[in-house]
Amino acid sequence: MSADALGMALTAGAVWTAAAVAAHFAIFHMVQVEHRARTLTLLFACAAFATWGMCLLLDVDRWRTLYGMSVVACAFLLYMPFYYTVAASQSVQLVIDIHAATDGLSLEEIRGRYPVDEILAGRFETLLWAGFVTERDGRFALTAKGRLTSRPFRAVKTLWRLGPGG
Amino acid sequence: MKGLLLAGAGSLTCVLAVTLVFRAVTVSRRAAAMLHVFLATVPLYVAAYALTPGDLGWLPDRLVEQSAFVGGAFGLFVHAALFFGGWLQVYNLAERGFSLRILIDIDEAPGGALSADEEEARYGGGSGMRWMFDKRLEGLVSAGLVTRRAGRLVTTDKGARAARLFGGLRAFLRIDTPQ
Repeated sequence: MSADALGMALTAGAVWTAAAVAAHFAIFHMVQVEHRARTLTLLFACAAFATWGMCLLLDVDRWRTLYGMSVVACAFLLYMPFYYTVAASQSVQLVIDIHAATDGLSLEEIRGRYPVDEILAGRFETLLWAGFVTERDGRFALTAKGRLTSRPFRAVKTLWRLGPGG
Repeated sequence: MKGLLLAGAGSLTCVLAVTLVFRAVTVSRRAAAMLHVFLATVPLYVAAYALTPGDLGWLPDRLVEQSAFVGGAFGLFVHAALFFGGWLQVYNLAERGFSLRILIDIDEAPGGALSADEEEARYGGGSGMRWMFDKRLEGLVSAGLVTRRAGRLVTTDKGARAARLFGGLRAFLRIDTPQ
């Protein structure tokens, strides 16, 4: 096996990863995306598929093709936490709001801006929309998807002796 | 293939060591402790890659890389991705995830269901939702992004740079509501 085959596969993976990131920025800038996580996942899946296609065209063997696709998978693992920090982190939102206020914010002002009941209602709405919980008579219960998410993390919290967290 | 296999072994070693540390000692800065464990596995990976034969003694020829450097660097990238995008995120979600905490609270509730009011009181093992915000504010202060001045919270230079960067990214990506 030539060293070039590995280099070509890894380069193809890197190039298509860059294309996925560029497409993410372009699409999200131009269109108000409703299913953001799904769209981002789809973009990286397309990048992996394109890497496979390019390796096929370049006559790279299947193992090195897999390595090229692994580059896309690893980049996805690294990119998603970065994206969620930008998109959903409450700490990031707090820093932005404190910075935007001319004289900063007092604790009371921050609590006024973030009424806990509204935040919780918004998050329950998101969890309902994403299919993690169901609502009945004002009470929320886990769906199978919600349990499938909750249980492994409960096990991790026990194994690593983490506190309640949140 | 050797790089991938050693990356997998390195990642497993890392998470086993993290588990041992978390179970044996009470760690206050867990993310930093995890990072130290990961960094300790990097020279182990490099040494293992340098000291073992290209075929690890059993790999077929077609799976042996001709360029040891490229193969080794690829394995190291995979090892880093598994840590920063994998184990560290598992920890972050388990320790700080807002939605996940809600799911766990519901899962642990008697009868397996909670109203919004009950969740507000139960959040974070009974600490309540207000505790969650105070915890995040304290985190921002200890990270040097925000400081207290005359009873108000203001951004430091570092915090101002972070606010501009993340605010700019959010605006460019048209993110106005969390998902």
